[in-house]
Amino acid sequence: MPHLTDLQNRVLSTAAALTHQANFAGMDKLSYVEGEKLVQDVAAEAKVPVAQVRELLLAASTAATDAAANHLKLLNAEAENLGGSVQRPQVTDAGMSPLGLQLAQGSQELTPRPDFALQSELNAAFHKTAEDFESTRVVVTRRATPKVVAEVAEASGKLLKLFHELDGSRNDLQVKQEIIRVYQDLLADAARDRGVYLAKSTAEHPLSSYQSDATKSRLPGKAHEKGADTVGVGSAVSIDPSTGKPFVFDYHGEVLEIATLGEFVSRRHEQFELDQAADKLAQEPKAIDALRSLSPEGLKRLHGEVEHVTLFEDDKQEIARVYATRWHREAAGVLERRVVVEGPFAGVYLDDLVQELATRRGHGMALDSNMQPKSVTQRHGEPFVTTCQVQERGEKREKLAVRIPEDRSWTRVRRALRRLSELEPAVKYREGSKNTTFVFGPENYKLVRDIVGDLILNGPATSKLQSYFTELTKVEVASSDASLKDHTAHAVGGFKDKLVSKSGEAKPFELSYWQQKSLAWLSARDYKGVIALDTGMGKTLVAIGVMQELAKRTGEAKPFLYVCPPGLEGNIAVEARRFMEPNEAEALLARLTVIDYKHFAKACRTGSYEDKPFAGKEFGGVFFDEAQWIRKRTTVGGEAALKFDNSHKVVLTKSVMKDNVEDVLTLASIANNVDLNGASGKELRYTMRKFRDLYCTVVAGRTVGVKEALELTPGQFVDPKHNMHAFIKANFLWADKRTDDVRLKGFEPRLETMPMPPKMEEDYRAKTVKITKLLQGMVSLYRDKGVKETFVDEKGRTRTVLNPLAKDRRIANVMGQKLAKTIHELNDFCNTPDKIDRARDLVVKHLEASLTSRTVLFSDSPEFVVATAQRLSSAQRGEHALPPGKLHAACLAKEIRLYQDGKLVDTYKPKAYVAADGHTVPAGEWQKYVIDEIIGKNPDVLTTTMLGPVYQEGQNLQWANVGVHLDRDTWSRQNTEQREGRLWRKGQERRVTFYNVDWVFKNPSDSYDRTLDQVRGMQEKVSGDVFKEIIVVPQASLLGGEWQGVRKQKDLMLDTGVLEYAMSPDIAQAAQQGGF
Amino acid sequence: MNPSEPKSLAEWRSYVAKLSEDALFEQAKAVNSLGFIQTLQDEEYSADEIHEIFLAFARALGKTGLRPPADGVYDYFKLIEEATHSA
Repeated sequence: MPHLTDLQNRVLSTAAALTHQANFAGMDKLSYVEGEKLVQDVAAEAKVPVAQVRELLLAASTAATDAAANHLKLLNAEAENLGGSVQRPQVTDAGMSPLGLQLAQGSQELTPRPDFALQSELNAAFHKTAEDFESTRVVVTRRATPKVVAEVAEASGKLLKLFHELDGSRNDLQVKQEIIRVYQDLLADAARDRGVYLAKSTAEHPLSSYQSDATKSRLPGKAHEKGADTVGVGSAVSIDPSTGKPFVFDYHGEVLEIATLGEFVSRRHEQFELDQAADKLAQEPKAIDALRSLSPEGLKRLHGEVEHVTLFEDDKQEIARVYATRWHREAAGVLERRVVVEGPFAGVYLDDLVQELATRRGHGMALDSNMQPKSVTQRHGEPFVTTCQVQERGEKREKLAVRIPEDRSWTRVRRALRRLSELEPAVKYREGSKNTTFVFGPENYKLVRDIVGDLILNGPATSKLQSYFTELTKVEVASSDASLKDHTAHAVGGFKDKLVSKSGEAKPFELSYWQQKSLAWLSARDYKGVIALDTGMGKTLVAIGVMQELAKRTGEAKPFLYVCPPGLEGNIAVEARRFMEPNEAEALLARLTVIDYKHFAKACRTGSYEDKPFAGKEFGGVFFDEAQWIRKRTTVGGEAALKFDNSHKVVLTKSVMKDNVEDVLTLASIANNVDLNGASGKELRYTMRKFRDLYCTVVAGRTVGVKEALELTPGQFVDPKHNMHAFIKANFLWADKRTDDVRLKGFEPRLETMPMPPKMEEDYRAKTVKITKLLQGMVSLYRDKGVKETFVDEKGRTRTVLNPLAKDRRIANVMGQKLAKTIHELNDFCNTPDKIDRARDLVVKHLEASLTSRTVLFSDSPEFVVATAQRLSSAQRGEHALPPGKLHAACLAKEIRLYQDGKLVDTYKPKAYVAADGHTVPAGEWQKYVIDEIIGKNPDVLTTTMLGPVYQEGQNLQWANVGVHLDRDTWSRQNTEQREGRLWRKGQERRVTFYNVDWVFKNPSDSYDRTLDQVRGMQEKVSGDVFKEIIVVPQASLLGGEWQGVRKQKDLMLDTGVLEYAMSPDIAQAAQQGGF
Repeated sequence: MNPSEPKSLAEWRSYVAKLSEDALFEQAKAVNSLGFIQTLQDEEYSADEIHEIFLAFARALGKTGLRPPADGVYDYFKLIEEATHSA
């Protein structure tokens, strides 16, 4: 022992004293943790820095270590003589490195002696080992062989157990010796192989930070020495016994995994269990025969490469015990499954083997309430889900496969699944599996689970489902109410703090709940999506908000493009100036290109607009307002919008779906920047076609209804619409104004039926004689969904008898060009002065209730618009007379007229106007100016009759509280709602009543004898119902609700406001009035 | 001719001119209702004639210098302005 300084003496004696006080026989009795505590206590007692105490204590034991090191040096020299070295340590018969062996043998001589120095020598070696162990990372590369991985994992497992055995007793000495021995063997084993490396990871140089570099670089092919603490990049380490310093090796191949020893062991745990189960099964030839699906001859016929996979991760090449497999496609099937081609399990499908082993092991996987996999005890013969590969539409796709046991107790489930596979093509039956095996995608998990009940999933299946649902709910979570604070007017920036009302009062300005929600939703989707807010809920401000966020948060510097219907180009400038700070508004408008749909399509075709290049990449964001204009993918506008390549496309519309479910897909594709007409849209078109075929009743390309739940087996129904709801909810943000911040006063639709006078009915029937059956068929189709009768058959299944009238092929032509002339003539025939008089009665009725009442009427006939305004303004007599001297407007496409007392008193045409404040209104905005300033602001304009197709968008008519649909020339509820939305929107301070005026037969011959007006009403109702089912209901659905963990998030709870709307149809009220 | 039941425009003008201030206000409000206007229409007054009758009331209201009754079929403010300019 070298001479100790006074300081060293003081420290050592303090240490000994404290040890004695703690009733330990000596410092060698202390565990690692206790040893550290001792260091701290000595430092405090002796008033010496901790680092110095540690150094002194170690120095005292180093002397002993040096003695041991010298001893080891001699051992290594002996090993070299035997042909081994540090790089390639010799393996002894005992399976240990010479180093380990000698240590083990040497340790026997070092068993407990009262000599402090020798015990300290062990402790020092142990402490070093412990430090190494904690900072050691296992680096696994693709070259690792399964054997060494298993051995390293086994040794690591042993080490973990040994550390836990340290308890401060006398036994610790042996344990520590064993730890040193096992650890040294571990290093040697790893060094011997070329696939598993042990490397050091420290706080300063964590190994994980080098992982990416590790895949790129290769160290030179020679060992080199590094510092004691830093080993380097993905390298192997071993200890040179002569110097005690670590040696670095290079490595080859891609780094597969870096883990602490503890993690490494736990990850292999399941695999070991399966492997052990497999070992046992391999001893049971009869059991294997029962599992075998392919004969040796069948195996010989397999082609394709042999791929080595594990039992646990059956589709990845994990480094563990592996099985040689090939893919096998069953005859006439689309399913490919892995089959083991070598060894005792040759001819057994891998997933069959997995299930068998899982059953034997008694373990499967399920999910706990936090969506985490948990081990469950699987009873023999439980449904089990794994993954598999399927060839589908020319591509290999990973799917889920469920196996249902064959015994009788599962017969009903098997039959139900079989029936489901016949109805839902996305759930495929594996031919010849006796209804036991079905393949499906994660989007159909709920369907399958609803039928089967609880499912056991293996790891890969769990991962696949978790990824799917995580993706599905990602946007929901990101746009939850908690995130709205990032999308207030102040947070977005550029908006005014206060707005001055008409009365001069300054009120604070804030974006509404749905405007903020829209911004949050779009932000979570990287500023692309379909915003389907109801009319008057402020979609234009949402567009402005998005532009501000893109500019301020993402630094977007390119100009923005705003596309809108003709005549509405001025809207966004008006909104910007109204709601934004002046300088912010001007800055935004300066970088905004506004273009109408017609010019947009042309600019897309030519590639230029106003002498500038015109392409998606020129713009930082593209906004399509009133996007129902481009809902058809085959129109020029729709095609152009789909093709316009820009990653921030925002689609704004109230009318998501007019009469065709495919409108939904077109709008979503525009927003998602998928060219639906191109190759990239193929998958989506297929999905939508399947959805429409399966779930909707379609006539002439128009969806007339959504099918009810599918009856799989008698009395067993399942609702298949879930995954379509998920698509809708994921791609559309829809909200009705009933759920808006500002509660409007109320909207009441009413139906006014007018029985035809006898002569009119006679003439009407003469005109409709050729289409009488057609109309009857449409009544059956739209009112009764074509069903004549419903009954339950002898097998207990619900059956329907269809009405032959509903199958009339000419129904398809009613909405098309073929019968357009006939329909048009009927419309004109029905637009009579009597109808105007009835409308007038309604106006008077409301005037009697309030003299400030004002009415807007819509017609699809320009002639009838003029006739209506003129007649309303003319002198009348009787209790239903309108007061003379009032003005009545007729709004046509190219002219707005004012009538008074039967005479034309003023006409406005498309040209520039000078407004009251002196500014010039461009000619392109003439309609809005005349309607807002001339008509809207003049309460003496009692009625305004408008040409529907021209004025149903973009106009603000909140100054009127009564509306009348004079005719139904449109076959869609969406158009009707657009027109109603002109009056019933934010800013409307009164209750709005809207009338439909329908001609009906006074005495219909039967329940199918109805007029065209009535048939249109039924079609609109169906259109509304379908819209509700496809668009509204999904908004209330719980995305990923089948995962209990997701339920916990309150932001995904059912939106009761939306549900209220969905369940209290306004159309039903109209139906009640006149009846169908 | 019954002064309390004017028929011609001249009679109406004379009738209105003789109303006391209180009666003027009360009757100006009453005639500005839909029902009364419909009665005039039933009596086959033309639109121009009805207009003239209301102008008579407006003229008289204007002379009082007081705020005319509001919330009727016709806006007395506008009528007073028209009456003033046409005088």
